[in-house]
Amino acid sequence: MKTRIVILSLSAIMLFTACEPEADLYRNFHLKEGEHFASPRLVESLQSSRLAFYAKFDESCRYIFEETSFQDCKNKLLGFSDCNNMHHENSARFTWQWFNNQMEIYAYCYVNGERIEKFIGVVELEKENRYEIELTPDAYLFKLNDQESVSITRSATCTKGMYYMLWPYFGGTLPAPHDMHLSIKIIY
Amino acid sequence: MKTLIIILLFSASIIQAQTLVLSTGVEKTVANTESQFMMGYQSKKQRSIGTFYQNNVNRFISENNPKQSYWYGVFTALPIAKSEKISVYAMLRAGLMDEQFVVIVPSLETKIKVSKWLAVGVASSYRQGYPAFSFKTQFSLFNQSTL
Repeated sequence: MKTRIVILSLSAIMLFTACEPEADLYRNFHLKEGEHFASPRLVESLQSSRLAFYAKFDESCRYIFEETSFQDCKNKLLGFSDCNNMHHENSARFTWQWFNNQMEIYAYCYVNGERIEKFIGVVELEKENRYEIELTPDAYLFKLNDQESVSITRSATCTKGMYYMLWPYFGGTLPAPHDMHLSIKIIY
Repeated sequence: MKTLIIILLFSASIIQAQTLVLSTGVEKTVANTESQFMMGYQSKKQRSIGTFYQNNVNRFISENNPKQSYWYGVFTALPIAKSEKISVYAMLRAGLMDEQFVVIVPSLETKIKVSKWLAVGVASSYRQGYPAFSFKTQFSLFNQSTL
């Protein structure tokens, strides 16, 4: 019996203290031609008042629509719905669009059903950039790399509840014109 | 916290508990390592219900989220395979993280009975989109079979 306890204790110590290389936590998302939702489709909830992550767009994320009026439709990167709200009521997300031959990043929120967009910056393809949304009692603070935060006023909703995560989605109105790939690594 | 105590007492009366179980352990998630305390009742059929409290172990707090995070809530566990020494349970924890975020975590736990009073368990669960692992020791108090 003592031997069994010793073996179990040693196993537990090894399990929780062993040194090992840091795991690659990048998740690769694939936007298929003709579809809006990226795969894999994930279900998670926000568990902290700060959502920070790295994202990288590859060359496939350039696109030109024949109908140019759709070129400034925002594609969703990552964010969350606010406390017990559906995302078209209250939510905060980073979005992206290939516009003016560059990758533009926006803050994109629904506040009491009203959509609010604010330009944040431009990023390069194939490069890792840091994104952060901080949830404060009265605002969503969006930060790209070391730039100053962009603030969007938050509606007074509940304070305790479910905040479901919103994953990459192409559109807007039109689906992906060709296959695209992007990677996201959430910082915990 | 008051709610948890009320839920626990209420649960005790409705399940006609046989054993009060206390457990302590650690859970390693993709984000950090958490200490874990659980208290509940286990019925004759090894069904459990109770409350738990978990918080970050200081040494492992992330630089990106440098605050002391904790969560508490209720759990329930049902046996999916039983033997005299080893049992496997499906467990569900639901709680509130940092008094704000509702978190629901399914897990699978294997428990090895070391003695009448003591058991050790290992569990794997799904936390923050990645597998998490935990190890715990469980003490059975007021075990009716031992009275």
